[in-house]
Amino acid sequence: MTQADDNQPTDGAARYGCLEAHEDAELAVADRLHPTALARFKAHLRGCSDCRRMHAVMDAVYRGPDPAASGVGIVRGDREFAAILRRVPLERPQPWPQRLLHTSGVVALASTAVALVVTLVSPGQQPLEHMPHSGVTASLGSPSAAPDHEVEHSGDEPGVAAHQAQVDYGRVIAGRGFLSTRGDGPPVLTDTFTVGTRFATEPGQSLQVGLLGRILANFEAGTDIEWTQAGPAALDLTLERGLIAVRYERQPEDPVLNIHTPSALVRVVGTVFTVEVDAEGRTMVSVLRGEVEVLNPEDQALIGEVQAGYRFDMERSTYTDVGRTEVRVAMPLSNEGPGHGDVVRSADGTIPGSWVVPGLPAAPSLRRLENILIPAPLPEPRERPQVARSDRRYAGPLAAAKADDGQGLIDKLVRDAAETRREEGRAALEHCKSLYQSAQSRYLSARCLTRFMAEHGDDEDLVEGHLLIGILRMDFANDYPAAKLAFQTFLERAPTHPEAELARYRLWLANIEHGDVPGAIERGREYLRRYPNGKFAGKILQRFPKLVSEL
Amino acid sequence: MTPTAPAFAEPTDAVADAPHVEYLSSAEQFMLSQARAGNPRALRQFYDEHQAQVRGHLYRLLGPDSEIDDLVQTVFARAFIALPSFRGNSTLSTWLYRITTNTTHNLLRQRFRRGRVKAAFQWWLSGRAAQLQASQSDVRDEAGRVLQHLAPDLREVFVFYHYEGLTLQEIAQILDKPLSTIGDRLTRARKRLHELVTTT
Repeated sequence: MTQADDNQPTDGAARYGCLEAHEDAELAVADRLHPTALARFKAHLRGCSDCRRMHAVMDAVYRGPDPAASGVGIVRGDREFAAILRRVPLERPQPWPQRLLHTSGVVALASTAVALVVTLVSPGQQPLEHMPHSGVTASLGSPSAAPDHEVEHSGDEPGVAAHQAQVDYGRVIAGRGFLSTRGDGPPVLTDTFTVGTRFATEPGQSLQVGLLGRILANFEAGTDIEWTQAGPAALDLTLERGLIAVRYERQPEDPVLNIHTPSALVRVVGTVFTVEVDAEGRTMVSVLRGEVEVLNPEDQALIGEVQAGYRFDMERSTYTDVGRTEVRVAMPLSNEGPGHGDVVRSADGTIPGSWVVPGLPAAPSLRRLENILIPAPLPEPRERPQVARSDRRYAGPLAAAKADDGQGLIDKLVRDAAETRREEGRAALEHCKSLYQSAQSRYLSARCLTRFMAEHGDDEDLVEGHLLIGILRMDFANDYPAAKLAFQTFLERAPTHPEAELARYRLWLANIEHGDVPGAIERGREYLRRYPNGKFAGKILQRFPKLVSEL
Repeated sequence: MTPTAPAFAEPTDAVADAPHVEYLSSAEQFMLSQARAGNPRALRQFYDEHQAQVRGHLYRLLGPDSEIDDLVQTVFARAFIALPSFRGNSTLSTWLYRITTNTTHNLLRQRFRRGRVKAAFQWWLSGRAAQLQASQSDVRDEAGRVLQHLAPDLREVFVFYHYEGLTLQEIAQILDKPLSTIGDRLTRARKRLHELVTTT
């Protein structure tokens, strides 16, 4: 006890010592002590260090640990989620016969150990190394004994995108733009490109590209961007100016996408978003689904986290709602739509339900672009000021990327089918064709053609439709299982069709982008055996040089 | 895209039962239906929405502990397995609290038994002087140590009530105990904590 215990009551007040303070401590912490008693309690604390200490500890006990100490970042959460998925099979309860077997195994092991000890201490017995293996110990190799350390190290397993044949290559899906190799390198004249490719779109153009088989990106007019790095852990794009929209259906093992702008680094772990660098070099990030981190490009310090539904202006550090412009740019990336049973889900122009657009009704019929609220007058169509360029990249007939491999076939199919179908079929096909003409609406043609094939798919003349649908499912929905099924259906029904070569090439490509490298090698081998001088043989050998032995 | 999520439990009769709407929003019902089918995006959404709750609760229950991350993984792995049998008789957070409690209860009991013997031995060995020396340390650390001296059954109730802000009815639902038992445990927990704080 301290001097406070010796305080004598004054003015008729009752004595208030450490004992009373201890009794009132809990009430004081809970803020339920009468004001008069609280005043005496505090007065006592001022003169008693032990009780001050007691009160501080009691207060800390009732307040609890600081919740801020229990947070987790995006990337760390991503790793943890992957670890959880790996752990699921291990946590599954074992059926009782297996548990019984496991228990009996432990008992048998103990018995064996006792027998070994007896053997060791007993002279004249057979040496240990000559003992026959007990059949019981074999039963101890149950799955429950293994996995702990495997869980610890399984984070080092290569992801689905570990093979260079998938990681280092991208494809032009649709649209027009100028592609060139890094620096003042030559233009890229095929629909396949590698790391180091630079993309530029002039006013009136837009370009859609696929990277890694997971990323679908839409480059708006006036965009200048370069694919600077690719690897199993990270994939980097450098955006100098313009507006891009990206959809990344990232799995836990896939690389993180980094987008560098002049003033920010946008780190993405799987989402739908847009990044814009305006004429003044300012960076704006809008997120429609998921979440992205905006970092300082110099020290990687976190500047802001952008949640779905928000638009982040980095220079002003302000958040506003995403607008119609961002949603319009991202719409060609949409692959969600109503689908039932065996019918694949294809985009129908409805803003996907998973996209967060403030003010947009939840009813699917109302989730249209025109229903997005516009808080301020819409900006004029983006006519970006042209940057004076000394190189020749924007001039001449080379200023357009070569069209997709299937373009010729698609045009031919559409023409041929339109001639042979009934009148209503012809009209429906014309509609699909009109959708396919524009890079901005091509993503809708998959749904249109799926419906068309459902109505007219029995016609033998339309077997090529499976190939067409496969291409669209692969390019716009990243739905590789559906695409492979469509290609295989086409090859089964028309193995000698003139376009069978394209179908086999696409099947090979779908395997790569799906991450099935062994399957891709097998498909590539099959292609090279059938078409040793085929027009796609070079592309296959570029990614799998070892297949040259097949020629 | 092929989901990398492992196969989940086979559908049971419980799956066919629609979850009770009164506890789940339509968005949660949709997410649950997707998560039960093993949709990685839905599972990730489930994890994102509740990991802070689970991690925070474990932190408040165990204090700073190297095993918290491991326990979070265990809790969610068990939750993913049990999703098909979740009938919606409670909110998702209550259901997760129950899994968290079942996961940590044995660990708490083991640690408490070991810690009790150790603490008693140290008390006998060093006497009051050691306690006075320890009082120089941070108040927050000392509060954590005091809480560790609380029996697991009492600590769980105290943490749920005072730190998580749950009602006695909710705690009774999580721990599957009568309401009177929960009230009794809370009273005993407060009394024991008062003793621990005022005698150190």
